[in-house]
Amino acid sequence: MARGTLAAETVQAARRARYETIRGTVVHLLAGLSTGWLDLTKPANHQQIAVAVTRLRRYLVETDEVPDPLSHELQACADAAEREGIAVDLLAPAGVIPALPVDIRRALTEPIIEVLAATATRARITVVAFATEVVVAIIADAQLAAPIAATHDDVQVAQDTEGGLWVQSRWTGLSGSPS
Amino acid sequence: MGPVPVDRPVRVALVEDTDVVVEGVRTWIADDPAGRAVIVAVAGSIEAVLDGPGRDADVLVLDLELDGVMVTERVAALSDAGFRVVVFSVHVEPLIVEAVMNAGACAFLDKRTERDHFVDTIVAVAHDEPAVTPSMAGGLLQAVRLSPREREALRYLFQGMDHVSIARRLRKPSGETISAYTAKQYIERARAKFAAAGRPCRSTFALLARCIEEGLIRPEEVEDYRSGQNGP
Repeated sequence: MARGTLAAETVQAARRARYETIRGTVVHLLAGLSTGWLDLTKPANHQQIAVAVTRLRRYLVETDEVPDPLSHELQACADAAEREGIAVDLLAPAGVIPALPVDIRRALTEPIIEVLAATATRARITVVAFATEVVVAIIADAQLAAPIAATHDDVQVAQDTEGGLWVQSRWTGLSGSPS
Repeated sequence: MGPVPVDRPVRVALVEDTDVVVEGVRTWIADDPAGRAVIVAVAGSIEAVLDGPGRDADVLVLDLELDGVMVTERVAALSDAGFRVVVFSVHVEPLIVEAVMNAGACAFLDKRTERDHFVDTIVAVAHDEPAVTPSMAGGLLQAVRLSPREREALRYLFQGMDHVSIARRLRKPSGETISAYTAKQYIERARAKFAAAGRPCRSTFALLARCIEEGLIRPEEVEDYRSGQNGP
């Protein structure tokens, strides 16, 4: 019995964690849509929804059993953008991506999702990986209302708006950069 | 096989089995304002191209997948026979890029995204100059011992930046800018190191000779990379 209760509690905790994860983005947008206060003709709102939809798609594939979860999640983000009519060029990663916990992977892909939501027509996404460094970058014809902030202490975000938008998120492991 | 004189168009042979791609390549070459290249042969197989004027071409542009079969393992023999091979493919996985470059290919062009680099790359290769496309940068990054600046420059190239943007990102710690020319040199030096460390063949020797002339790499460094002795 005790074991059954424990399993049930674990399932419930996982469910709660999942709900917390999506609540921040999806739930309030759905509420806004259902009550009609969210004006879909405003580009900013449209972008917010694109971000939420892409996060949801990434979230859905986070638990898939695949050899390279980061590429898998980036593919989900790229697919979401392509459904919006954006030509996304997601390149095969240079180097072998080390195993990364989900919060790091989210922090790496989050800037990519934000840029894709603001992209007009095309984007190129790349990953360069070493044992203690993973760099995800996007170049797109996008305009950001505000700079993108990092969402994890171990992930830095850099951006440049001159000559098309470039945004890069970079994780470095304990032993630092390989250079 | 010396480099092609700069005052005559580069003769290109194209091994490609898809008509629409052939048409695309013809258009890119015809649209080059300086008329720097001409197509002398086109066929869907390596044999058919070499059995005619294609055998005297300056550059052999090779689709890696012909009639559904990968011809990756043919690159080494073609390079040894003295052809300057430029691989033109959708198979841009860095490991494949690295393998064909190591076999002796002079350059790699991503079929989907590098049409803007097509003529420039062909012309550079014909003149035995180091040509590095964004898709090549991904393969070079892992394969060579690079200085931090060379690695950074290659990474930005792979990400999709042009030389001007790379130079802006490579700003010195003092805040001083570097020129696009210097950024290009970091990239070309990485290419020279890759050639020095890789499989010896005719195309590689021609490229290294050119890089030594240009001062990108010193002869003794070539020896060091060949024997795998030195760091960057």
